[in-house]
Amino acid sequence: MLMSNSVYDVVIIGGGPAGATAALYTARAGLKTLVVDKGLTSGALGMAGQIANYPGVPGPISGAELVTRIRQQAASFGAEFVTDKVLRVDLQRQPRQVWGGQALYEGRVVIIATGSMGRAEALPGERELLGRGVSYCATCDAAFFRGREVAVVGNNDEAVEEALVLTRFASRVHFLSPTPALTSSHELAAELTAHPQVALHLGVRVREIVGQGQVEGVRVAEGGEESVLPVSGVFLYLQGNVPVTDFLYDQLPRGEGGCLVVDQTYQTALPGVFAVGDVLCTHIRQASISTAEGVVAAIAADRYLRGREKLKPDWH
Amino acid sequence: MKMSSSFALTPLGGGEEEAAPALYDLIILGGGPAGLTAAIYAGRAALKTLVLLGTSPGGQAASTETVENFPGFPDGVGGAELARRMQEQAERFGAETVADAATAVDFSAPPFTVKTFSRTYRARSVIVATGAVPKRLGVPGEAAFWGRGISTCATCDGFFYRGKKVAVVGGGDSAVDEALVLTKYADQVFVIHRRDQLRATRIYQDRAFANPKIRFIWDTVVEEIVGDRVVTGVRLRNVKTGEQSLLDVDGVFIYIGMQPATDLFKGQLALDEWGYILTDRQRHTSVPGVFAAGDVQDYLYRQVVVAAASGAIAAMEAEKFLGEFPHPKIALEKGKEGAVC
Repeated sequence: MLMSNSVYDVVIIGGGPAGATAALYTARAGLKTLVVDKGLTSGALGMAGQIANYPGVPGPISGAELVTRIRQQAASFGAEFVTDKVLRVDLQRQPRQVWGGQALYEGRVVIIATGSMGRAEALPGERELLGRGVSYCATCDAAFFRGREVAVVGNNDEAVEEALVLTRFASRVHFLSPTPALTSSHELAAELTAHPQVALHLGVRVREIVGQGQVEGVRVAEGGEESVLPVSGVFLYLQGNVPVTDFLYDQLPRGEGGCLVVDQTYQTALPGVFAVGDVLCTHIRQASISTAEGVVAAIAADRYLRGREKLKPDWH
Repeated sequence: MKMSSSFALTPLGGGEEEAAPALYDLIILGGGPAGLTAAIYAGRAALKTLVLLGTSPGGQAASTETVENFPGFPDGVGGAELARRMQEQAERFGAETVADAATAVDFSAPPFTVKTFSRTYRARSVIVATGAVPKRLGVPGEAAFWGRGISTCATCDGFFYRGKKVAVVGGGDSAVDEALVLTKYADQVFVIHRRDQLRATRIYQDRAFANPKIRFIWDTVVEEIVGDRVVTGVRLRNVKTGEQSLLDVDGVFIYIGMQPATDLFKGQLALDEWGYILTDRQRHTSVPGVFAAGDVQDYLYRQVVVAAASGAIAAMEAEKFLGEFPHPKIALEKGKEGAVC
């Protein structure tokens, strides 16, 4: 496990509109800021086709373009971005620890902005074979599959990037996209398509992960026909519509469906730990509203780090 | 100005304006980021929407030379340009905008009445987004250099003063806290206070006194802000000795208070002791069907994108409110078809 080389003032998990805007504000406030994000099209806005109601941007522009602009803006003030998947956190200690697939990141404040594109239901066989060939992190586990055939299930940037990581180890990577077209960026899609070790299967649904004690294959449905594709490993990057909070385990109380509860400054039950955007229990799914939440949390984080926990106006 | 459709909806078309003022689903008071974003959302929701842009279209944002922290603009955007873009966007979604301001309102019963300088309107719902203005010193040079070295927001503008010298005017928590924020950027921060001690709470005082970049100038008021194209200094007067001096600074941050633009609503909407409109998290005011968004109900954050988001929320709530009541537009259309009106 690599250690990130320094302790950040603020580590933000998730780089969508809420997380990237929080980064813009904390970086501009002079706080050393890191954003850990899975990939541009892992979140709801990054996937959104056309946005026309984001104020000041008559557009229409793609959600990915809007997110990219906010990230550029945050980066221009010194925010750092790393592509990694957060697997677990330790929010009790100080500095707080954020464990990614590639490194350990440490921050005095953590802002959770992971959105709500997590999956509620597991595939048949997924839970039973987790750690026995089922993985959510190629960066973590690819080396176990040297010379083997594996399947990657998904269609976004994260899935494609992870598949490309796997090509360095696996003999063959079957890329199973549930949609007829990939949602990842054109560059990544082109790289994947051209890769000699990659077999692209588009419009394929995974019905089950099969195996006795360890993964032996995936049962897939394609155009009404089912078949079993023999592989030793399955890497899942499917998206759903529940808050992405599984990495928190029991670190924070979670509401129905795993959502997070915050106070008016978007602070969770743990002082110095904030949550913004679609991951919240009460939230309106609009980019303009997520960005504002990022701002409020960033200002509150700055005050927290300066020892001023309460916003207290004294003049009007 | 696109007025034709509003006349089409006037129930007794062709009559005296006072007898049959144009009826809107939603009238938005104020053309800053909160009001204009509300208009974008309302227009998109097909609410018949009118924005009274007010006496300072674009609001506080428009007087900001460059907005660097509105997400989505990596190169920054002029405050006036940002407001103009929002207005175009609102108009494109069908909201009407007029350069007019409310002079009187009646929120006692729906439909609400809004009188402006030029005419009278009726509205089934209203969003108040009239904003707030920072209290000014009222000294020579202040108007000339506003936005050119004079600011009321360290979070917004502190970044522009890296390696420079700035003055902070005021002695409360906010003045001292923002002075501390400014020390992250500026080389030296002078806090100019008219008394010989701070009103700020002890912990900030201690921190400020311990900060080598902060120097306090007590018992002193600003008499004039001087400059060339931008601020170059402040002319000071000691209120005890009468002694005058000139202090060279590149920026002046004024923290002597904010004034929400709520005079019109006194007695009609519940206000707090400082005049801000009281709202819940959904931006409902004390009157059902009247909502408030932006700095007129927010004394804490005063950020363009936060104001914009509250406008979006208010518009969605207005839409919800209108959906819960019989729609006169439908009644009118039925009337045309001969049904009972």
